[in-house]
Amino acid sequence: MSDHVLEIKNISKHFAGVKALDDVSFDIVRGSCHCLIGENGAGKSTLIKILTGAHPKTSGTVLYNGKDFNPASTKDAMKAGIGCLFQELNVVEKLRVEENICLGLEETRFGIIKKSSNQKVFDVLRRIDSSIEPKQYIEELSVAKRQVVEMAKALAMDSDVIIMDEPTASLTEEEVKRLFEIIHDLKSQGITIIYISHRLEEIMELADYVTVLRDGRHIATKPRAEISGRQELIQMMIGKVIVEDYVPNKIDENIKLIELKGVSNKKLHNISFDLHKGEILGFYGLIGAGKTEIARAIFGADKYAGTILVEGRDVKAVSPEKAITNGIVLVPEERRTQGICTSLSIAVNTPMMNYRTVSHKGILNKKQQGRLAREYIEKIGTACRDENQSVAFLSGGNQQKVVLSKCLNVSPKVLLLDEPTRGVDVGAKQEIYQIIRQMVKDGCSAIVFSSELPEILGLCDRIGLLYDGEIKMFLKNDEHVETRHIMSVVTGGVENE
Amino acid sequence: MSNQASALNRGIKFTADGVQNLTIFCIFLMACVVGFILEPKLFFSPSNVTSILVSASSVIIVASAVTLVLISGNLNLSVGGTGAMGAVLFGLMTRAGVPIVLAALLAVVLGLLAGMLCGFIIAQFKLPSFIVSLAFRYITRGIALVGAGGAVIFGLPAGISKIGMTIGSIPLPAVYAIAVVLVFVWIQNKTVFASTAYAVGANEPAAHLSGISNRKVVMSVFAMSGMLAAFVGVVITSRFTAADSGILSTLDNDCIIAAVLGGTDINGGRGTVFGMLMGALFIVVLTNIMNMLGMTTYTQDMVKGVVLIGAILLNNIIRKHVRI
Repeated sequence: MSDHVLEIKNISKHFAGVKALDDVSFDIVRGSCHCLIGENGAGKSTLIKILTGAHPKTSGTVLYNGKDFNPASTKDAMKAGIGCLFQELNVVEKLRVEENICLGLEETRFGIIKKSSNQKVFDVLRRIDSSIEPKQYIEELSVAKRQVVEMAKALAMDSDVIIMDEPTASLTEEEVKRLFEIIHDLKSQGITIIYISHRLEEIMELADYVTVLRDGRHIATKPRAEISGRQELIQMMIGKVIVEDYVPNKIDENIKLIELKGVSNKKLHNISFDLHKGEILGFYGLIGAGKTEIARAIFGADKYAGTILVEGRDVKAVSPEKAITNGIVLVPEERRTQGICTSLSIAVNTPMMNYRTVSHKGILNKKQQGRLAREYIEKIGTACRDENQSVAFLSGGNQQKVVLSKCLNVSPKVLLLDEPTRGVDVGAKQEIYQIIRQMVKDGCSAIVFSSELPEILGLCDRIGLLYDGEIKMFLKNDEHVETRHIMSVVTGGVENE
Repeated sequence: MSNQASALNRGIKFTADGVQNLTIFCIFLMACVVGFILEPKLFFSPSNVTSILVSASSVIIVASAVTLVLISGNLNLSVGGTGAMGAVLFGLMTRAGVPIVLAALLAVVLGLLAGMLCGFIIAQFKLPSFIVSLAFRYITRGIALVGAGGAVIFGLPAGISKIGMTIGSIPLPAVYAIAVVLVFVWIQNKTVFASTAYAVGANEPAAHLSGISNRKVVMSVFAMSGMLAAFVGVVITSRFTAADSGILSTLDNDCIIAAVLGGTDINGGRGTVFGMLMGALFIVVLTNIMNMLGMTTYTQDMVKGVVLIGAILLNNIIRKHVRI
């Protein structure tokens, strides 16, 4: 057997015209911990999905133990020996540990699970973490222990590759240490770990090899020994950030539209800042840094401790309904599940935040509703058949334009944009930026929450850097902004590294 | 680019609901044609038409509101019980000498309150409507049975029969059904309230983040269905001049079937009152035809079951392939 457990050759993956992966090739050494890094949208998840059979690849080959490998499903991949700890763990909370482990195991006789196969899993489980009882319900276990259950499952199926996607995202320090011990243990048994994380410290500690992806392309694969430090990784991850079109907005420093004072909740720690009139404020941070939570707190969708003032009044934001009345609108992170009603038409979706423009005393004026929808379709260039088309059949970018139409129809004072261009193609991205800029020019203020740095640098006057639910610092956006410095802060680095 | 795209397709403006309505309308027409071929003289006779309307009237009245319940993404399995409760309360009150109109009004208001409470519990505690309305079915039916001592209340004032009588050849229940349907077609098409019901049913989290109150919508649709159910109970009581605690035992299912036949999505966000009307009429016409053919009610039930599955499959096909 060669010492390469996986050989990835010229893999490409296209989604509706977008190249998620572009001719990626590298090898993974047996028994190593191979770390995969890159910004959001760099193609890490897509690559993992191809390796685990969740997506088919568009072109290229994967050799697994020297043989061509084309899993049709995650189950297929698991049977072949590639197990995966997804970010969203695959455990069924309402079942016991032992029942979870048996799910998906193949050793059955006439549909009844053979007792002997469980024994093996329990042995593995005991070896990794003896504190977990097979009779315990998954609900009672911490995230760390649920991961162990998943790992035991993978190992019991004789996996020789285990993929871990951001496994430490919700672990405590102690649990992270324990996980690293387990990883070392697995490596010594000849098992290969593919490890994905945004936390560069962890990468530096764990990795035998590091592969960097950027914009779907393979940038480098290097042994740990050849990497000088975090700075080098950051450099490879972000490359040259090209920032176009940033034009400072006319800001009235005297008028504070929104003030947060010590806002905290489950995910947020002591968040304080002001939004001035005419300003675009940006929050940058990686997944789980608390961006969505800040947006939802301001919008009244989540509870919080602390104070939020809107135009000087304490709103005690109780509901999105109230927030909208106060002139605050939100473009939510998850468009399909939170932004639009896909089964309904553009015309029906458009007035959803403010029916007053299309109704009188609760009675809808359908003509006006159609006119309003058409007005926004023209104004912001939504590509569609007509206003009666179901939103379900629009592209991501055009669906996002429908969400923006909803917001525009409120004539908002404050626009909250959570990942405004996620899953949107490049052309539509630029159009959406133009719409945001125009809205701010027309007298609105905006807060952009994004995990894409070029987006933040292209739009925002001021940038708040988030890490782990805290604002680490504010920067003024100008030519002095150093992307390397930003990346260092949001990946948990010390500020004066 | 967008202008081109929209200008190219500015022909007839179809909506998905429109296509579905057209389909069920055609199916209904076909059923009528079959009925006409089987019994050319009898089928379109005034007596047969009014009998079709009267037998469909209870379902049409209550399902007008139940359609909105389904559109909002909920189920209401308590309308039959609420109807019986309305009937018994009306009977008890009129027997006790409460003026007929006042008794009818009170019964209807109590039905409304029962529905509103059911909706409140669903929305406030985020419980599945299936379970809560199922519980309300037992509670309301129980109230009816207790009130009537488990049987039928006789000896009601003769005056109550006016509410459900037939004037000339026009039966009032059919008139009520037509009036209610017209009002609800208007509500469904013309009110902001219905728009919010569609939004909640299509995507509750998105509706919430658009500032739409789920509780308002759910309480309203349940209140409406409770009110109309009790009203139907009053009408039936007046036609029998007796309050029967066992009436409307299949109303819950019949309303859902009529709505689903008419293209309402059981998961919410889609459907029309007009479609429901066609669905309800189709079922009655189908029963009428099966009676003409001399089928037993047992066989008829089987046929209805098959027809329902066919209708759901057809709706699915339309939804998948008509990309509007």
